[in-house]
Amino acid sequence: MNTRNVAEKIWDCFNIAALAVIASLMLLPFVHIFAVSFSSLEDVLQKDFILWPSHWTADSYRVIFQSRPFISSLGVTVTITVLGTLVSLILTTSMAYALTRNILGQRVILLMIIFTILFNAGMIPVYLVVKSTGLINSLWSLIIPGAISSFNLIVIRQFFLNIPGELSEAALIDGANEIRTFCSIILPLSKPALATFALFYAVGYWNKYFEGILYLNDARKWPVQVVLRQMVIMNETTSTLGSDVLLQFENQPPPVTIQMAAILVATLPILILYPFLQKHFAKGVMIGSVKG
Amino acid sequence: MKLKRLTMWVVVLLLVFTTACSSSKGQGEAQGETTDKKEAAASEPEKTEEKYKITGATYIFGNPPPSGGRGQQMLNEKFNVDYFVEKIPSENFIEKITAMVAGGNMPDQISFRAANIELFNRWAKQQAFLPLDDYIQEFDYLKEIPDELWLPFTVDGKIYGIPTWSPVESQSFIVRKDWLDKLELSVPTSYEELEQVAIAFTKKDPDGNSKHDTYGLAIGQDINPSYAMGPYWQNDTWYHKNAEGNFIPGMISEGRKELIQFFADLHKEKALTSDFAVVNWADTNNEFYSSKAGIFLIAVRGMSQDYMDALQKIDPSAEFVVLEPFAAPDGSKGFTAGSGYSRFLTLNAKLADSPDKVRKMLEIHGFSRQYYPASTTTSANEDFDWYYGNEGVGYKLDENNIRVPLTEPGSGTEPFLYFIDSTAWVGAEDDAEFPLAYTNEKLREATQQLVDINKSYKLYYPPSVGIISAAETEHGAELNTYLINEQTKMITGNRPISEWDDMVQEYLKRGGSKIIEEYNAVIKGRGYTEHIWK
Amino acid sequence: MAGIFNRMKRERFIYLLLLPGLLYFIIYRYLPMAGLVISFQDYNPFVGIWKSEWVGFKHFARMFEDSEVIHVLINTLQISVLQIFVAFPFSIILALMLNALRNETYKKLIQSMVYLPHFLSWVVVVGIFVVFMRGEGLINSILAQFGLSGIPFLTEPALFKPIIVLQTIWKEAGWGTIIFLAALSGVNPALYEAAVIDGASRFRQLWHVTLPAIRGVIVTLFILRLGSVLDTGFEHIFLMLNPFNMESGNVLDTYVYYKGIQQGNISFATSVGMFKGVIGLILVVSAGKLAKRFGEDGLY
Repeated sequence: MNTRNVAEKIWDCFNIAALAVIASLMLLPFVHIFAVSFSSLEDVLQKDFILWPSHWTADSYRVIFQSRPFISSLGVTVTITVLGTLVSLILTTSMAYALTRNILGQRVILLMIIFTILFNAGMIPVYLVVKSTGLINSLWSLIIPGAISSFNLIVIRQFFLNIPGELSEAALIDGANEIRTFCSIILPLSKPALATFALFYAVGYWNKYFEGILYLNDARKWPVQVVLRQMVIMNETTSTLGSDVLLQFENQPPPVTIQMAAILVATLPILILYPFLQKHFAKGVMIGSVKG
Repeated sequence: MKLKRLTMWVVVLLLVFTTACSSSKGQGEAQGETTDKKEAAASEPEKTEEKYKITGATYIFGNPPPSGGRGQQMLNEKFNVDYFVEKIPSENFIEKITAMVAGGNMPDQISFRAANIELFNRWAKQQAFLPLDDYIQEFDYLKEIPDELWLPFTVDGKIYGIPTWSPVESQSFIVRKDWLDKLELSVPTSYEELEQVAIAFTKKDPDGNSKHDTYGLAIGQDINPSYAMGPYWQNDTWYHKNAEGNFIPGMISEGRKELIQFFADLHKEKALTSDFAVVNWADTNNEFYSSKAGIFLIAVRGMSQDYMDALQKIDPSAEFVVLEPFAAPDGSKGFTAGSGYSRFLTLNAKLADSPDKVRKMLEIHGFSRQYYPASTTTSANEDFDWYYGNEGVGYKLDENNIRVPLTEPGSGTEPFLYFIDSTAWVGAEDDAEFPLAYTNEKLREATQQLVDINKSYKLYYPPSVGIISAAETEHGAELNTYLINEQTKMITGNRPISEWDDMVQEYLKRGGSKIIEEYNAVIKGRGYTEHIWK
Repeated sequence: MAGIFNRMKRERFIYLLLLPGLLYFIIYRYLPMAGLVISFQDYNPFVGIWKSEWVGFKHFARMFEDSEVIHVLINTLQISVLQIFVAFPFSIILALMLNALRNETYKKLIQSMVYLPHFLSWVVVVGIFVVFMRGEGLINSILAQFGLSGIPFLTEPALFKPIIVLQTIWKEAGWGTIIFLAALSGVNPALYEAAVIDGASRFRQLWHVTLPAIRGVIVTLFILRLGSVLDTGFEHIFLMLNPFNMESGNVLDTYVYYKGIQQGNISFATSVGMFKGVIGLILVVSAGKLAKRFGEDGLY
């Protein structure tokens, strides 16, 4: 008993230390980006990798926050994130629950959903459908066409399957209908899963970029990712083969300090979401739900 | 079991049915819309003061002004139109335009990027655009465009695109003059001298800080910039001829081989960016502006002032000199002319039925291309004052008579923000005033040097301008990657330069000879046999 | 027939829950699938899908006419297999390590840190790695101080695949833990208590309590991951490729890019997507069958 306790203590210490190392490695780039965004350009140019500004300056942030399109696009993104996450969660969970029940056509529908993960219809056919359902230039075009992620649906269903069947059966026998059972038994028991997929959807909506460009004709409706990316556009992935130099110079990106500030501004609000959701990951939310 | 199969079939049938139904409906709708437009267009010519609705799309770097801003209202009032141009982020411009076209919503006018010339060509062949030949004679601003600039936009004998001005002035390379002086070296005039300078910059501590922290050429992935000191060495001109007398691409020419040998020599001496094959364009810039490399690229416009300011803070004693072209083995000396256009405008083929609307659009386009040189224009010039949103509201003039905007583009105060194309046409006799674009004194000086160099040499006009080759469309990107990769290996010594001919043979075999054949067919048709210098 | 009707009537509330989602899938996912036919056409946006020229298997043939494609597919599969068998389990291990932490504050702190890199684009991530891994980069200058010779991390073909996997782990492992942590939070603490009373060691608790609880999720994610076996992430690989590691790093996505997909050839791009989908479908269906044989639910 004693030796085992010692062994477990050593293992605990190792675990704590190893996680500290891993976490610092993953934090490193953010410290770097933070430091660059608050540095002057000449300081950044002279060093390979800064982790702390030697002369603090907030000039980069001034450039970003003074821009009018930026502020209004932030509003757009918050709206679609809140609204979209709600819509997505409702549609996904209700459909996922229905598919845990052994109903007619269950297998076919599940197969159909998996099919959509594997085959991508392509941009133009989707555009045509979005257009004929009247969503072009409406903020709904950023929500409806991608409302359900097939991946999330399948995984949520897996979570629901882990809830012991007796619980819902008991409710059904008590005379509650399926919708009531879903709302009052299944959803409260699935808080960790709901928090997880709320996060997944929210991050997805927060990062909406291409749909904004494709479906919205009025730049006033652009989400923040489009506006920020336009402010700091980076040309690296475009190949410069043929070296049409003037073409490169047509698009001289702003200093790296501003680019890094923009990255932080674009991600910080959504980063804060996770710590808030963490309390729903507390242990033992679900009672006796171990399967098998 | 049977039951399950049955349901499956019902669902599948249902799906097929709805798919077929709504797709054909979508098609019908699109056609309905176009006929609507045609009817509307047909009724237009009768009325004299018709208020036209003009739609457009173009690409943008940065953020567009808000729709309905002050500038937009001024534009609509002045021309009595309902004018709207959708400005699409440049990265996704083609995707969005393609989707709009597929959805039956091609706008009245599209302003493309120069790089979209191949797509333009494909669409022009499908009669997507309005032929402009008849209108060119009507508008002075179109008559001003030199003949050779219509060439890239001529498809099957008709002109479908209007080029926007871009400098023909060539770029060159900029050298740290203070480093040259410190080491008592003269400005290099040949690759031998340039090599000496680059090596001296690497080994002789040109910044005098006793550290081994400087070197010669800043260069990055894709062997960029090219450091071609004339068309003889340039990779993207068709300057050399092969044994049969056909022009060949610069990438496989003798001049390029000499250049690769030059880079390989410098690589051995560590006189160019280490690991250049993994350094992207932004970081290549950093190498020069952080005062590590002493030689880099300069163009007449579009240099980054922020970075130049930073370089001067890092090393306040930095001075610059711009290189003149080197004399080539064939006796030529000079740079290659730029393409002369950047973006270009096309009109929707459906406008054929409403010539008056076309005239209105061209009138507006012509207006937005007027050139106002800072040296001669004042706010007393009505068009200038209106275009930039009135003195005191949209702009002010500084002591050098240079326009300083008073609001940021996001406020949409100035009309010029809303035009599909707000680039002025700088005529052959006009001075483009390149140095005035900067406030940084050193950058102004260097730009002036480059402008002067451009004035003192003739420019080479390559025979390959505006040629679209089917073989190139299919294999061009792949082959170019192949050549760049092999040449990179030759510079670093991973492949001997003695295998140059093998590389060229491989290129020819994999489709290169077809490209050369197709290019030369067009070049012969144009009657281009001897190099043209102007 | 009456049987079906009765059954449907009994299940009407379930269908009500199902309906909105089903409509969504039919309208926004399956209607556009008709567009997949353009992989058998030379698609022309001006005339639309129905009038574009039919070219049969031309685009598929183009993909396979080159002998190089076999080599490219092998690269793709090698990277995918490494991703699935190294990067994917790493998330599980990280989640289990986090789950073993007893101090809740520390656990939350670490959790919030490891998921950060997910939010950076590959351009930024690769940029940072290049600073560290260049020939005269930070790692090599540290090695040099110890008198060791430098390692050409970015140009050595043999290192390409391990580095790609390392970068994927670094960027996505923390994010990947979220789903497993959610599943772990469903474990009944009473089970652990019972195990402790039985005298089970930490390792036995892990084996008999923790892992069974998340087995379903692991199997589901694993099967879904198999479906994208030919997707290796274009941007990531493209940014890491250079003339020296091309032979080892050229994958299907980058290969078709160099083949000219960037010229806006929509039909060709769709054909490649179809090919990937078919391979994915075969793998998912067979993995699902296999999972069922081992007593798992599979996906459907």
